[in-house]
Amino acid sequence: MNELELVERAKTGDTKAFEELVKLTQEKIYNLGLKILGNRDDAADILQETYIKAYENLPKFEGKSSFSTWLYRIATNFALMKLRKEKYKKISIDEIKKSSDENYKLEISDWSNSPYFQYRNEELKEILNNAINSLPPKYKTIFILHDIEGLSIGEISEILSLSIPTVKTRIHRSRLFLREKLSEYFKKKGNSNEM
Amino acid sequence: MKCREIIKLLSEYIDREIEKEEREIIEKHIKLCKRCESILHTTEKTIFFSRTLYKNEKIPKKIEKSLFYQIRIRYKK
Ligand SMILES: [Zn+2]
Repeated sequence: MNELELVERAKTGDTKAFEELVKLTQEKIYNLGLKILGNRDDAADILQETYIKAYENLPKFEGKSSFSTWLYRIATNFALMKLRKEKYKKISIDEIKKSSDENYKLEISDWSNSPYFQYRNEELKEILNNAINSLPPKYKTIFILHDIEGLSIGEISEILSLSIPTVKTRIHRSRLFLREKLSEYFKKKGNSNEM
Repeated sequence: MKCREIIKLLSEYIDREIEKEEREIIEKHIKLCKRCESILHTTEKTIFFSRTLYKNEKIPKKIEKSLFYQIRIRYKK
């Protein structure tokens, strides 16, 4: 049975069909929560909240988008709520705008071939991880959905009820902001002689 | 096109969300402009490196169990 048939059955009250849908999609939803929130407890909460809401709202699901996109939408909204309560220090929207709009003025070095640019460079990983966590909630979520999960701009615009240009702008600003954070690191490394 | 406008289009360029014409303009500019070329390369590397931070994992059995428990107690209603 494919997703569509399972959804149709689940809507008529077939709990086996619903459980089949859960099994097919739960890993995706769990990992999405894990990536956005960064820990298993929160990911487990998101997972539960998502499927409970999906179960309760199933009669209202019209199939305008795919079932998976609908689930992503529910899960993303729960994740955003949690993210907004996080204590992690966030940068302001102005800051992120500034770092993307003024980027082109700065002197730029191409660190893409730097000897410090390595997967095993834990220091670099931490800098990037902190920078991603400091993104405003919606920017972080969009960045993860697009650049990590590989969802299309169209899907993200559906999931978050945002226009396509808005999604594109936020992806772009997030990338340039993160790029700048890494650039700062390489600049510092370049000025010191240790290696 | 000026650098500023080129930078604005970089993400769409990376995502291949751009018309052929603009694509060619960007490629031409980048050949001649070190700064925009660097921004493009380092942005691509940033995305690439971000992907290495995240790994998918299997749902721990305990979490899956409690998920199904939470779903099933709602069936009777
Ligand atoms: Zn340029």
